[in-house]
Amino acid sequence: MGKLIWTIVSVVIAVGAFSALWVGANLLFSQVNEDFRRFSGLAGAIIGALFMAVIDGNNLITGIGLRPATFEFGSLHIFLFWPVIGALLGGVTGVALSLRDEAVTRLAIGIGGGLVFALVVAFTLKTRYLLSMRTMPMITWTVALTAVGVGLGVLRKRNLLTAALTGGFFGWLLGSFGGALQGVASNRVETILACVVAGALGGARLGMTSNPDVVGRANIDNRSRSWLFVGPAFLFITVMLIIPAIQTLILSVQGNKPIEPGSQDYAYVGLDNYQSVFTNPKNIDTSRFGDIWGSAILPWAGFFIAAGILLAIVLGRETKQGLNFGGAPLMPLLMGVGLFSFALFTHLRGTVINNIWWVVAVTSLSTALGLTVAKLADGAKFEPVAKSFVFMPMAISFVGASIIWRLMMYQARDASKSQTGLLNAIWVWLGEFTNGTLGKIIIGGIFLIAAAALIVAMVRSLSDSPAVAGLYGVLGVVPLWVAYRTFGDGIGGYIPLDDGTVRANPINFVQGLPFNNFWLMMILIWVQTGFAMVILSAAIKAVPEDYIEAAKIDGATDGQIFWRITVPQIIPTIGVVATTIMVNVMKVFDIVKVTTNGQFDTQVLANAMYSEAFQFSNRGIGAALAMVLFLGILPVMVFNIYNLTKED
Amino acid sequence: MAASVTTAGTTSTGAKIYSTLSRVPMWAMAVLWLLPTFGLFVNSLRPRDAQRNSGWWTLSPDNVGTRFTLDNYETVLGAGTVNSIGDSLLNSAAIAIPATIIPIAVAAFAAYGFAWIDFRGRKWMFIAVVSFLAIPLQVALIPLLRMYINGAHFTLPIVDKTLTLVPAWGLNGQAISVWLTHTGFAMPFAIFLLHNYIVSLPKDIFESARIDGADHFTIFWRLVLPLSVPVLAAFALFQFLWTWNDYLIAVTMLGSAGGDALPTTVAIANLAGDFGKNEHLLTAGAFVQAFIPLVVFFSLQRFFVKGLLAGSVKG
Repeated sequence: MGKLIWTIVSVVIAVGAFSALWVGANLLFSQVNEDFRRFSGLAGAIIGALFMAVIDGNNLITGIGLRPATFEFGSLHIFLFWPVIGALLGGVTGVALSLRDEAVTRLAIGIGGGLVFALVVAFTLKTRYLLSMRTMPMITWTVALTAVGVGLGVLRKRNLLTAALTGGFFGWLLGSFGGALQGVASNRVETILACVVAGALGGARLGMTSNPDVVGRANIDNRSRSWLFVGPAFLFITVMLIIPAIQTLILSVQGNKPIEPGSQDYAYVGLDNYQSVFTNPKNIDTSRFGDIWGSAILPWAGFFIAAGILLAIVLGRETKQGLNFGGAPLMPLLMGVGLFSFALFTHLRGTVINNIWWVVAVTSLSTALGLTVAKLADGAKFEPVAKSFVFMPMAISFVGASIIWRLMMYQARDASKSQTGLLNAIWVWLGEFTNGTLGKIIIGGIFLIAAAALIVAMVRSLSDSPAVAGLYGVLGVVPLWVAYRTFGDGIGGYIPLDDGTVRANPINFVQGLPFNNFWLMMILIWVQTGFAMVILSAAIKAVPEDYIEAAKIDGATDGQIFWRITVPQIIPTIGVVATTIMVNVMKVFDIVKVTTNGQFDTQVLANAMYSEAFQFSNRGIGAALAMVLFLGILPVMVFNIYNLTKED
Repeated sequence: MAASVTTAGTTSTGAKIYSTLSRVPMWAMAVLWLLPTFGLFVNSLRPRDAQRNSGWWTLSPDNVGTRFTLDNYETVLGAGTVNSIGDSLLNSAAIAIPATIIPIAVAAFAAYGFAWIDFRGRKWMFIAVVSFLAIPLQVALIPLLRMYINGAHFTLPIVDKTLTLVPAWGLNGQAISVWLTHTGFAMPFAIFLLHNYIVSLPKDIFESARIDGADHFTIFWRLVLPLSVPVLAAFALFQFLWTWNDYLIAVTMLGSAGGDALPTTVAIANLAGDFGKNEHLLTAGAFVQAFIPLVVFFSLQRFFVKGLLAGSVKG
């Protein structure tokens, strides 16, 4: 109960404080037009308070008491003392400036305000920060930055005197404070000199301004609003994204451990971390590549690719184009290439290669499956219901999805026990069933019927288009082969024993090489298909009805309409979907972390980065892995920027 | 297959059968996609022994002599027990709600600013912001965690004095570190999505409001916010699902501190970590974790789909 109340309170405080700050800032700038004196006073007070808060907060000046290390309400006055003084001084200066328009008076007010601040700081500055000025740097910096100020003033066609004052102010600050020897020979007089000159220069610059007229006020309003509206977002992006990203880049060229234990200094090691990322066999593992020739997938890949090329020749004869890869040859070709890359990736492992495999497989399969459901469901009865089933996994966390699949689908138990994972239960059942006569007849029969149907389709379309007939023939080989296997040894998860009986042989989906990676990908495919479906479904519905009607009248089949009209129309959307999924897949972390934590050759970049950086304290390697991930996504970023700049 | 093509307009029996049959793959896929979650739900209601010894699809737990029970939920939600994720539900809410509201506010301001306030460098700033859409949050994690632990310090060049911008408050292990991180990472997408909508509002209303003397704050507050409710709802839904389901940021910022602020994702992932022992509780835990986003999702699905379309299909 206490937790619940604390939760609500912290939420209200967080949201309330943020909105109060923002609305307050807006109300402040609304005063520019309503009551400039009030605005000027408030702005001065805020700047003064912030200035003193920063100086006091960094323990540069003496307060009215010893500040406790952590905040306590009892010592509130110690925390507030200097900011309140700063607010009073700044507020008075601001109001005074807004009351006077004549240049000399304003200059006097500005310098006066600057001097008061300077004296306050000079007299309270802690002894260890007192200055002992060195003439050379002081003169050099002041002259140099004054010149820079004048130069900029000339370039921007501004008042040269104010430009020189601004430059001089910063030059003096750098030269007097930066060039001085701090705390060596504490010298209050020199400190006062340094502060007073700085205060006078800054104050004079402030006094050189004039009170804005109506146009000026409108300008202030517009400029300040642009910062108020865009500023917070930009601040968040800068602090949470840009600066950390740059820091990560720096960390990635530094060593993993400090030079000495306990120190904060890390040696620069150049590209060593990157080198180790790309040469470590953990990350690029080709040791199993030789096994590829024993893979049962490879012959199938060869078969489909050969069939695709053959069909392309046949189709080329038909259309008199030499080689034609569109239409019928495309499907076996895609299947062949898909199977080939599948065989390749199951035998090339390691963090980097796994990551590439994830991107290739999940992106293409999610998009393809999403397109399939979108097409199948289009215009169906209860379309929304069917679609929301497919869509639902999007609301489930990756952690939850991993647990669901691990326990409900992939669980593998000892062969002597009944299986509690659905996939293994089916697999083992299939193995037992197809080892009996009845099972062989039923399962084998089903595949034979499928093969027969495809062969009938082949014969019927032979006179029409030999290429399409060839496609049916190629596809028919698959069920024919499965039927052959069923009638022979049987299919499914079993091992024949010497006494003629069989023993269950469940698949270890999560841990068993070489296919475990693919089963982990299934989880992400399960989640992402819904996303692809929603967007592609909307795109399909947006294809102009006229095109489809016209095609129907010309006697086009459903398949022809889909491949020749719908798909070309939605190609840009397919591109967007694939890019979005690709970016998400590149960063895959939770699924691997929860199912295997990168063991059994399933490591991916994001999880490797997490383990290295946060578990093994190898921050250099961790940062390098993060940068590799970033490099993988960089092309998408560049493409996005290109698209945006092209727009107008 | 080629034989069963019917010409448009005819509604013969064959065509009816064909159109019904053609829906079989769709329903097969829909059911296939529902199956794992359904299995989780069924198993979460079965006692430990039933879960361990028989598949969830056997439905009835009778074959091991037990009935459906809520025991797993009682253990998982019960306060004080070792495997309770009841507290972490509150933690998840304490993370997800502010991490949804704050980014909406910040991004709405910025989207309005980019759409309707004329200032120098607007276009390039917007492109810069949107180009961060794809940036992986991994590139920021290490320095961010360091900042939450050590504070932020800036060494002035030349003067060589280190100024403290953010003191070492020890924010890691506290929900605020997760709010801030989520807010930062939500910005590019939020601004992109809201900007697309706000920029398409009719120009006339802004011009007439300006003529009536309204400043940007008033226009934003009185006109733009009320008109943008659909897109704000869409983004809120995205952000809520994302923050509720997030694991990486939570485990990085909170996990290392080992405090009691862990959200449900981290809690059930930890539960999944000790293999076998608590698997029967994991089902109930995972279902509780998924229940709230599923309810939110199905009640606001309309907004979600609209938001998805607006976010990915530019126009």
